[in-house]
Amino acid sequence: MRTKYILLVVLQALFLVGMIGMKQAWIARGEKIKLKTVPVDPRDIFRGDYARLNYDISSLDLDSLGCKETFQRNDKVYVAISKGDKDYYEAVSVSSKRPAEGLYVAGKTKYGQRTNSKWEVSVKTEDGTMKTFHPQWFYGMKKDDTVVFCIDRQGNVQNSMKENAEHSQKCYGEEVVTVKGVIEEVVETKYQTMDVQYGIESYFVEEGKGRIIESAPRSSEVLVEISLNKKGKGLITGLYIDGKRY
Amino acid sequence: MADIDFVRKLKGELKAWISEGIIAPEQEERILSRYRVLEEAEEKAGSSTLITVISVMGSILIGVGVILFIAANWSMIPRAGKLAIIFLSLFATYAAGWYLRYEKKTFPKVGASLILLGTIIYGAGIFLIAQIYNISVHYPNGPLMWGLGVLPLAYLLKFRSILLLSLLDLLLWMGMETSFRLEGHDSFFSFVALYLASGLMFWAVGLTHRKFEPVKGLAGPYVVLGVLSVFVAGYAFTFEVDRWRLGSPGLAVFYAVIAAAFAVSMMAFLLPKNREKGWVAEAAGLSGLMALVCFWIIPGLLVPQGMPDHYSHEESHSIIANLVYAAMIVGIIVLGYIKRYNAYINIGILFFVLDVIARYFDFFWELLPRSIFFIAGGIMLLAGGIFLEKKRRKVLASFRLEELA
Repeated sequence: MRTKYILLVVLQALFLVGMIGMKQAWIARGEKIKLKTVPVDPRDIFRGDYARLNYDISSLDLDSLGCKETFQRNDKVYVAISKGDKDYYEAVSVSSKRPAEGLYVAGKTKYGQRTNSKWEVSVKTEDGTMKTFHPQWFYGMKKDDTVVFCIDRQGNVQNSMKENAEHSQKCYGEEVVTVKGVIEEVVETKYQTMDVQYGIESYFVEEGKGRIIESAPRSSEVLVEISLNKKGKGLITGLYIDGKRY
Repeated sequence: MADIDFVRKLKGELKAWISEGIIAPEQEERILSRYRVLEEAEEKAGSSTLITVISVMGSILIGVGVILFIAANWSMIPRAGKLAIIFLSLFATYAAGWYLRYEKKTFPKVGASLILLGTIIYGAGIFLIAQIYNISVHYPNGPLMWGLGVLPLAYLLKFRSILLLSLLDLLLWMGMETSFRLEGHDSFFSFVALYLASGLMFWAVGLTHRKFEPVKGLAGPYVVLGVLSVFVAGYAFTFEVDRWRLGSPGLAVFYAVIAAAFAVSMMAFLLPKNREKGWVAEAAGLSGLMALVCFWIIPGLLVPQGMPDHYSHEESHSIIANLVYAAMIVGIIVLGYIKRYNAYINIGILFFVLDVIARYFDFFWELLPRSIFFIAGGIMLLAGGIFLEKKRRKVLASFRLEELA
């Protein structure tokens, strides 16, 4: 029985060693790429033991990717990615079949595809110039309403609020610009979107280091370095905030 | 080896022997004097059960401590250091446990707890490695590998504690894995049905263990977890059954494995050797329940597109579920009586009380003013408690009397 006991204990240890070996081989052999991401709740996320990451490629715009397939939930998908002139990779196509060449990430659909809306809002600002914005959602406002947009450093609309007579709206946060104007036109475009999970959505934060990352402004560019194997499965190897590695 | 439980039982037996004239009163004194030392040790140093409980708690605390230490000193300890801690503590606890229990034999209970601690550290190792490599926190393979990794040790050493840990890991894995495959509100009924089926499977596997001498001692965790799963799931179904959402095509693999394991265990259980009292009733009950689960699962499994978009609450199936649940309670109490298993009787009574509470809420919540509802409910439960406690004592006492007779 003693021999068997030792054997079982050694097997357990070997199993753990195997786990480590497989991951190390993956990191050594995989293709290193960077993906753009946002922590799901940027203000709070690094306080805990891990950050939940929401990548640019986590929700795909099927229409602009020219995808004609229909997807159910939990379908396997392959997202082809390319770098272009940026530092990080972006989705170029999505398919249920494995691409013959090029880099791709393998994932699973979360709910299947859904219809979403995109907005294009034209406003006449206080100084009389016309400006167009693309807020992520835009409800309850129509032509001739006065609207306040909060614009972050990268030019994205963080928030849009209806101005009312009682008190004027204000934007909060560092490096956030307030733009006020009268709505000239609202164009809502419907498109097909799909959420995909890749198994790289958690980043474990080292205690202490988390504090530095936590204080990074909301508008920072967060990139995650992934080691991508031949099957399109990723393993997180690093995190960059505004170009600085953590 | 004589232990204190044996002495306690012996005392009872001796009284019966004297009253039946088998031995003389002075012989009782002489017999008991052989075990006096044991009794004194028990009085002065605490009972052996207490030692087991304390050392098991100690093991769990140390296991949690190791995990927290490494988690909290994340950046201070280099990757190799974290892994070294895991491997060193894994080997050290397993070696010390073996030494104390089997080599030196000085502290067998503490030794057993240390081996249990080793299996916990093994699990901690899996999760820490997953954490080092940023593998998702929702990590179903973790509990699976933990459960399967310690299962052989449970059988080699005949440790019920390790078996229980392993089975809990596997049940946890099943829940995590299926929640990946199911999403939204549809999942609840499939989830409960799956746990009902796996509970029946565990129960059957446990019964089969009891028939074979080498693994007889390991039946307990299977049967207890199985019975509890079956009754918790059955209880959930007494509230509502949505026939179209009980089965899910995404879980087909689970159904196949559970059905196969159940069928094999059932066949082994029906073998003519070592049959226990009430085996026909227990086999029939388990198979009947399994047939009902299959009958419920199949529509959702075969025609997923055919299901209505909204909850389809079919009164007839809720009535069936409630009748079956009532039959299950009566059945397990009767089985407990036939097989002399206190655990069956206690579980039956517990779920009977839960059922009464639930139905009381269902029927009277709307009808009675709140204050009367609560007061009447309270009185009913207190009276019911006294009645059931009396009944239970009577039944358990009758077991002992029958044993003496």
